[in-house]
Amino acid sequence: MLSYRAVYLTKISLFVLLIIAGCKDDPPEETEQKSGRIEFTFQHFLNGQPLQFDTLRYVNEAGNKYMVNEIQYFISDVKLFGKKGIKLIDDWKDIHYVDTDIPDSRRWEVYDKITPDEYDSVSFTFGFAPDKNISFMYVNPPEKDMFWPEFLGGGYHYMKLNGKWLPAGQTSQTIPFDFHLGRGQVYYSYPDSITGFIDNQFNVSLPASGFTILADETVEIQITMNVENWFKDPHIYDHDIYGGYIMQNQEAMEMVKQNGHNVFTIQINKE
Amino acid sequence: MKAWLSLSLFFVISIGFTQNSGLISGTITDADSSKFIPNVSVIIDSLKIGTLTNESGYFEFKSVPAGSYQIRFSCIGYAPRVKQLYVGSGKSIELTIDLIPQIETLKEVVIEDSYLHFNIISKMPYVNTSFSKFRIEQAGARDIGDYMRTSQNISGVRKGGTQIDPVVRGFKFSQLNVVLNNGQKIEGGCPNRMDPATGHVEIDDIKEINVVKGPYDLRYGVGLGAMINLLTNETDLPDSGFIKFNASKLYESNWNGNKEHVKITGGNKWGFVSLTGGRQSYDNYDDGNGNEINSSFDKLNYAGKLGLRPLKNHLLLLSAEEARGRDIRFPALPMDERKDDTQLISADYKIQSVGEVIDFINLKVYRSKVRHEMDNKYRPFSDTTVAISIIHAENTGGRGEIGFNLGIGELIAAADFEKIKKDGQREKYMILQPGLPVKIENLWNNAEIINRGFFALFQGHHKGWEYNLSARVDVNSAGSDAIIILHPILGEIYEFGTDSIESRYTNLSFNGGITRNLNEKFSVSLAAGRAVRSPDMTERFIILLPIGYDQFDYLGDPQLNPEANNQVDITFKYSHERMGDFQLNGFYSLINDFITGRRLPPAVQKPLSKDVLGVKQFYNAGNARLRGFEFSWATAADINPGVSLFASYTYGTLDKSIQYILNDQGEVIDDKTIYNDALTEIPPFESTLNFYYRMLNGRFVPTFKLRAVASQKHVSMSSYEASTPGFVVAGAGFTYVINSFFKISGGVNNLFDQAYFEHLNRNIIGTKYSLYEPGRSFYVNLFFKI
Repeated sequence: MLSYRAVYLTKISLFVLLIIAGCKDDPPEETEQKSGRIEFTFQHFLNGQPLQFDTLRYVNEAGNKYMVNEIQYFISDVKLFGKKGIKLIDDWKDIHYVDTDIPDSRRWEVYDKITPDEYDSVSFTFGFAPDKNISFMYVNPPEKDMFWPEFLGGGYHYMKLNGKWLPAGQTSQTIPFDFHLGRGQVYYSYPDSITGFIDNQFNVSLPASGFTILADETVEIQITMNVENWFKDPHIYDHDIYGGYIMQNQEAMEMVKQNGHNVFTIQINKE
Repeated sequence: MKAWLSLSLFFVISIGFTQNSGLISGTITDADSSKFIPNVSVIIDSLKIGTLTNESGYFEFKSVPAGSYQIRFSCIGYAPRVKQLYVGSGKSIELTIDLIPQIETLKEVVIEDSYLHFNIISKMPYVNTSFSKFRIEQAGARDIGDYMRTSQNISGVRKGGTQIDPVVRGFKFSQLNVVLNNGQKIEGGCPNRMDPATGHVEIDDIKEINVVKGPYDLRYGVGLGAMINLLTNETDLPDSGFIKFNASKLYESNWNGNKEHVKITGGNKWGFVSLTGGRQSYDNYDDGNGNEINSSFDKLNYAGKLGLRPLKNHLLLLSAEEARGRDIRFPALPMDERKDDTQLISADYKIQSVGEVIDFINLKVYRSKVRHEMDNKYRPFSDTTVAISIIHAENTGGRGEIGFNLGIGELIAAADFEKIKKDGQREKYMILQPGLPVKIENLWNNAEIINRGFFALFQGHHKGWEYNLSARVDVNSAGSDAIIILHPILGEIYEFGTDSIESRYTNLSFNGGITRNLNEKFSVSLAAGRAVRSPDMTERFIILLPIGYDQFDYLGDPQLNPEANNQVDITFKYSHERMGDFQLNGFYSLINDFITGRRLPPAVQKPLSKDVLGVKQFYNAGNARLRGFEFSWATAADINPGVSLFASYTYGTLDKSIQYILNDQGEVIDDKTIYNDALTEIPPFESTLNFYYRMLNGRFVPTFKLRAVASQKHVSMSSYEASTPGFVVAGAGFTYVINSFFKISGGVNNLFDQAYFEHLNRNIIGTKYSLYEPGRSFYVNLFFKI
């Protein structure tokens, strides 16, 4: 016959075992996904060929010989126009930053679940709508480094397209150009009497001749920037006229904005 | 839950009624001559009973209720002595006590037996751990949170060299109720908890730390997971004329750490005065790999206490303390604490033995003021943005309680009031854009919480059953000026309306516990309760600061629901004269409306802090569960050499959470729901083995400690929490009572210079590497008293 002590010790052991047994829970479960997905990829072409950086091999419509060093820009408020309605891409992210020096930024795997539908076009804002262009909202690079100086209106650059061109009459000495777009200024007297600001973002609409997104399908939307178009349609942009720095030149930035209408093209790739 | 209740009932029903008191007797002899000593005062503190030894040095207490007791032996001409022991029901304990002749009369040489971290307070039906001044001194501890981590199922969040934030059984932050001297609250200034309440109290001022694990002690407020009571007031000063002077000096090798503390106390039957002062200066420590950790700090504190006894059994106690921390480095946070100025004042009025029915009356008012300043001046990224945050936090409160002796038990009724105010801002200087105005961001905007509490506790006993019932109602209201993130041109970009920023909750907390002494050796206790806490300042009102263990800016939600803990504890105690004392506790906790953070899309709110991954907002995540156990064993107090063993484990899960799937850039590209995911920051299984050997009649006691901690692989998937490896770390120490003036203690921590880190240590900012614990460190602590 067991002593009381033994009985108690047995009970203690049972108790410990119960605690330990109680620690084994159901394994984690996953939810099912019944919508489609999209991802954007970004390409940069010039004259129909992939853009080659840092080489003085291009000539624009104005006759400037130039090279491109880097392109950095934001797109926001991306919309898909479908038969069942318009899908605004903003569940997780409503602004995307593209940087030709950062390969990962040229691919955007979209979090939003996309309703299976037939879609006929994609649009986005190049830059930001004014209410989203908020100073200091980015605290980490690389987006942080796109800041637009406060005294020029604040917020962020929509685009930095940096390069060099060969000025007329020069044979080898290139000059850097900062083909930048952001918030413009209205001057009472240049350069220090600013009376107002002008938002230069613009909408890009890309008819895609119809594409379908099915449940559990991922569609790649390839967006291509055709760099030469920044400099020619409808305004022929001459670096010899506008120089290397246009952040305080609303006339130049207005040209950039208007030339932007046909810079982008779209292609749909299905898995 | 059903299984637990069934199990509890099984134990309760299966036990029989036996005797419930024991006998303590003993003989006291002179340590040098072995002669019997007559007229030795023998006192059992907790029972308030005492006796004197007869001519044969013999004493006896009959009918001592079963339980654990501290017995004091004192006699003029001898060093007083304290002994802890456990009395089982119907058990007779016979002690043989040696007293060391006093070198100089009326000078104390107190030799305590509590080397083994073992405190069972039998009347409590839950786990109650206390840390005495003696043990704190022996360990050469730098900080209360750091020291408390040496106990089972208490861990801490380390972000720097000091001010470690205690975690009890996986409960942390506002889930713990930390109070000073039975009720004073301290709101730390730092949103990142650089300065938890324990960090504002100087460890060398501590007389005792009392920890009640579980939601069971509601007397001083609601602690969901534990109540931690930091006691600095003198409770046993003589009422005849006296003057005492204490001083200590500590040096710790690895940190080049120096600590000094002085105290002078004097008084007579009308009252007493006590003045204390302390200073700590520690450099950076090296971890076990020899890497220097930016962990230096400097602290200074001074305090004065005035006690007046206007009438017999009346005491008015006035207390004022000021503490200054300077250049306290936190490598796991984006900023360092540049300045901390803390002022603690309080007034207590206590009346003992009021009458036959009213046993005592206690009144208290207090004010705690914290000014906290932190910046990133010495961080690499300060080359683009210098940020300075200054926060003011204030607690003002009071409480009154009356103790009734009802014959069948004791009733305590109390009412308390607390007002917390917090305001602070972060100033950013953008170095890359010179000429820009300073950007100012609110962290709190005149946030305020007012809590009114009403409490009652009944402790009774009936035929060997001891039980208690307590309840507490809290009426909690909170508000703040508008939470706005300002933009210099566009104005407000995030705001709660005036209506939604205010909240008011009425919370009911209650619990009950019962203890049954099964036989002369064995007792079982069952406790169950529900505690409800309102969200704290940070959870309600913080405005975008990285305050979690993960690198996210956190945003408060003023409309959070209160969090509730429903818990049951079963505790077994077994005491044997040769085998020693055992305690085994198991607990199960179901937390409703668990408060934690969830990611906000950058489309909703982008972070404002550098190097963070995004923004998380506090929310009520549904049910979370914590369960675990702790085991203690120690040889009987009079066994020499002595051994103790502790083991503890906590397992925490969240019923449902969402894991966001990230790409290589940390961008969210998908999500999935996870059921029963691990809770974050739960310490792994650990076990500690202690040895001591009393030599030279207890004047010289070497100790050795071995602590083994398992790896923690049960980590949160949804929060991408990293697992941590296990480790074994050893330490050794000694205490030598040189004479009635001098005592020396010393030792070595991390004896084998292990490179290791605790699971709860935060990562060094901007890296994936945990903050390592200090490598081998020698310390010596010299005490002088007169």
